Amino acid sequence: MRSILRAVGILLLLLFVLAPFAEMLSMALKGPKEQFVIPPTFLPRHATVENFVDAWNQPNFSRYFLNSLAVTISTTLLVSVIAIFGAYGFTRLKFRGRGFFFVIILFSQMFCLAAIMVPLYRILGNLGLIDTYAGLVIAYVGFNVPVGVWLLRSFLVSIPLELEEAALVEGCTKLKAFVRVVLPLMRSGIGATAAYIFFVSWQEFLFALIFMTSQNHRTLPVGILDFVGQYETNWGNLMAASILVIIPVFVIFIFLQRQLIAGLTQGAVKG
Amino acid sequence: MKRLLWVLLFFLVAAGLLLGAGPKITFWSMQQSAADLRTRQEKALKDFEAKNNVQVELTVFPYSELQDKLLTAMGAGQGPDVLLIDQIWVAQYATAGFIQALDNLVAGSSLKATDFFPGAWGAAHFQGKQYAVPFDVGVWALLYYNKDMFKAAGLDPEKPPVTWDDFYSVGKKLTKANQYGTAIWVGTGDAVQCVCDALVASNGGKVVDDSGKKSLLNQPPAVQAFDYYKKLNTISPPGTVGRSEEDSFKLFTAGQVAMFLYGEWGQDTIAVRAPNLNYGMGLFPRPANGKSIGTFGGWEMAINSKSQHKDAAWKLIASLGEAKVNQQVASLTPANVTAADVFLKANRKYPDVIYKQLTTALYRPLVPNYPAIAEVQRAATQQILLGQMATKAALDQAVQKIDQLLGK
Amino acid sequence: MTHPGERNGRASDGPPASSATDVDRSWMGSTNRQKRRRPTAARRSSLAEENDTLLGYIFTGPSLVILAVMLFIPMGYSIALSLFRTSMANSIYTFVGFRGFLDALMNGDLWRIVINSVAWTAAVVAGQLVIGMAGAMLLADPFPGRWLVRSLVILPWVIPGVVAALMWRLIYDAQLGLLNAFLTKIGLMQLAREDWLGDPNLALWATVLTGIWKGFPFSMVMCLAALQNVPRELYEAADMDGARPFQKFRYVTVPSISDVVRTVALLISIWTFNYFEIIWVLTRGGPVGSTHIFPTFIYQISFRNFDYGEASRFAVISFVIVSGFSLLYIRRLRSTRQI
Repeated sequence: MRSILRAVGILLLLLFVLAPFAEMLSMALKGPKEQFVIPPTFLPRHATVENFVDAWNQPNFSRYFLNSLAVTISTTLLVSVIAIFGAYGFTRLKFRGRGFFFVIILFSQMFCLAAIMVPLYRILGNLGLIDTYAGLVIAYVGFNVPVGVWLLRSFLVSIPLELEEAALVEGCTKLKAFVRVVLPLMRSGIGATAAYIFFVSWQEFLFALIFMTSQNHRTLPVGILDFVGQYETNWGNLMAASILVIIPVFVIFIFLQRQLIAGLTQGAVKG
Repeated sequence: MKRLLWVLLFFLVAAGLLLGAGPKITFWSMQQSAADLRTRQEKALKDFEAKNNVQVELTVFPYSELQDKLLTAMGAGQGPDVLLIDQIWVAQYATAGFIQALDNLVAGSSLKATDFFPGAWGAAHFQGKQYAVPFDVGVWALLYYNKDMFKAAGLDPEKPPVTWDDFYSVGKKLTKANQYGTAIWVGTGDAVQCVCDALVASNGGKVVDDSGKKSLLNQPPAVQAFDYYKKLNTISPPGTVGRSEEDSFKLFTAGQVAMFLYGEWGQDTIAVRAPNLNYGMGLFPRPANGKSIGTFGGWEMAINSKSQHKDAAWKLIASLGEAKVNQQVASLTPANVTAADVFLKANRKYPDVIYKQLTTALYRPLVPNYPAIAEVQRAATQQILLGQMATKAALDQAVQKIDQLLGK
Repeated sequence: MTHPGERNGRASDGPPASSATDVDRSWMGSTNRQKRRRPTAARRSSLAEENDTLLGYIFTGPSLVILAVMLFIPMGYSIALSLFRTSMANSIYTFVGFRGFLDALMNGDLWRIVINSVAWTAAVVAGQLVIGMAGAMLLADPFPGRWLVRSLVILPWVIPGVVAALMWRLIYDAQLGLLNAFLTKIGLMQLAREDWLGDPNLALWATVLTGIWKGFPFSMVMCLAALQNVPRELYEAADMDGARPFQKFRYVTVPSISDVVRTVALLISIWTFNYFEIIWVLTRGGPVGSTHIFPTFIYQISFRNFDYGEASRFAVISFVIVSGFSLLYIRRLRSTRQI
């Protein structure tokens, strides 16, 4: 009975999540003549892959994809490392102003970015960071480390201090105790946080728009709007491009979640 | 001594190379999805570079990004040398001091007002000065109609309706089960303002008076125009307020809607989505005692007031405005009339109808606050179509807000 | 070496209810926990404490520097600008001090935006947490193909916000959209004629649905990770005491993951409040301003009206609201934890 309920629940969840994607796929497989007919059809009568081919052959498409990948991976790695130590600092170390800095970090998320776009552009222009990968990665790291710290902190506090204390008794420094004992236990938290950073950077739009000007520096969320014209949106290509974008990230996530999130129920350190 | 001479020579050569290379100007323009258009534009730029010893760095943006990127960059005091801006941004950019007045440059060049459509040339002016040169144009709106649906309803497929009453009665006849006379829309873009302004202008009214300080949207001609737009809602499929013009046009290509008020670029959409559609085109419907006046949309070229290479920038603009070049590079209809004539005859069906509509079209109010005014107008249109307020009351409210904006 | 599941060095403790006290309370710098430590460890820690300051600054420094440049300086500029009235001709800034704010408060638009923002945030956060939590519970225990389902379910999170919004705009189209087509198929003809994005009473809720769909995977992933950390022993102990599934959920699961859930709730509330793309692409804040929230309105004033002063005022008001709420939330958490 329980498993039937669970199966139904999972099915409903999948339905909710995948319905729009099914529509996306359906439109990506239709030629422009079939995409908008009355009454709307779901299965294409003359399925075609021309949208995928066109999207792929779009001159800058693979470039946008690689840019996104490079920026996102760098950001994820940098933020994970910095945030792990930052979270450690905020939870385990006591230093003056800790509470104050902590609150500042939370407040960094609260101001509406639309209002600061122009002054930000001016500052970045003066620093020579406009249209550079470094500039964008720095911005992403800067804005995501607070969140990473905040998230990892919540995982860190639920790990009892006794473990590190035991390691200290055995002669480790605080840092070593942290790395040897606590980090492995935080694996799922780190995995979740890294996944979060990855996906947020992957689809970030506003900064990518401001920072990158030239076409071969643009990332995907900005570049994919190439298909949205002033008067006409190339829906077929847009949907096909979106699907092409999803596949690699999907694969990455399958790998990521197997390594970091799954299979930890068994793995407790014994004796 | 010898070493000194070599160093001197080196510097001279370097300087010569640098100077000889000519200035480099940046040009921000719109993305073109049509591959051949891109090639033509690149070729035109290469020709220009060769002829003028100037380097041009072209960066293209999709439409939605061009506005944001341009505003952010210009607002921060940076930005390209030459910019492509929408007609309705000219007054805004001019007031904010972003773009350069071009009167002297125009006077000294071969470009004349008569080279371009009056609607496009006029839109490049603000408070008596000229700030831009027209690049390409489009007009809201022309009348598309489905000849097969006309035939099926017993109407003459070669005679599209001409007046407002004709349009409505024909539309009524064509509205049956799951079929509609036309599809109007409000959506989230500026197109609805264009269509409503065209209705107002055709009825002899104005959005803003000549002094630019008072809105006339609540005067009888405008009220009648909006009432008419509301009337058309009864022969449109449901979902008017939330639907965009692009999605509404798809109802025409899908064969659910018999007539549609859209710009001439709609022909490209039909060619792609419904190549077998048997359609005709007519002029924008006019009131019984009015004229058929459309609203201009289109792009203008301007020079950044902070540019370091204004002369080179001007040369580029002048070159792109010439008939021969303009015809090659424009994505909508070229703004240069000679080029437009050639372009329309080569690429469009019913070129005479389109040309005529372009010559009589008017531009939207040339006030710096126009985008804000457009929002107020859109909200009023929504209220009217939703039936939240009576037409006159909604427009009175809108005029109050617009007058406030105009007064700033 | 104690088992990670054994709090306070004891094996699975008595009835499930006591597990609530086992959960850590060192939230936000409280030092009660440190005081319960054994003497040797305390001595060691106090030895190390002098180094903490430097280490702490090193660890937390870089992000603060970046934030200062990227955020605090532009923010300061914006706050300063909120005290001026700007006109179209950008060079004319008149200092008006707080009078600008008074006018904004009198402005009818402001209150509607506040209501919309609060409704939008509350509904989206609630929806995301509920579905995220439900999803996490459904996917916590292994079953064949779980890895695939987990990966599929995070897809909404992966596509760029703009693309998701464009897709949903198409879904909501009255004539061409999936939603009305589906409703027609299952026979709900009245509903199938609705103008989801054009009716002022429906539009906000339509955007809420899109917002929930787009962001719930984050809550789900966080809850999943938190669920992984709940020690098995607690569940086994509850089983031994004959607890029913709902009791297990209430007394074991909920307290154990509450840290993470509270953190996530706060974070997504802040993000959702400032989430721009979905509403902007779907409705531009319309119809008749019924879906305008702070970020979309600020964007409109900045980029359509060029009124940077007014935009800054709204940004400051928005900031005050969000930070006020967050401070209250944090304070309430602190007080309830000190039971």
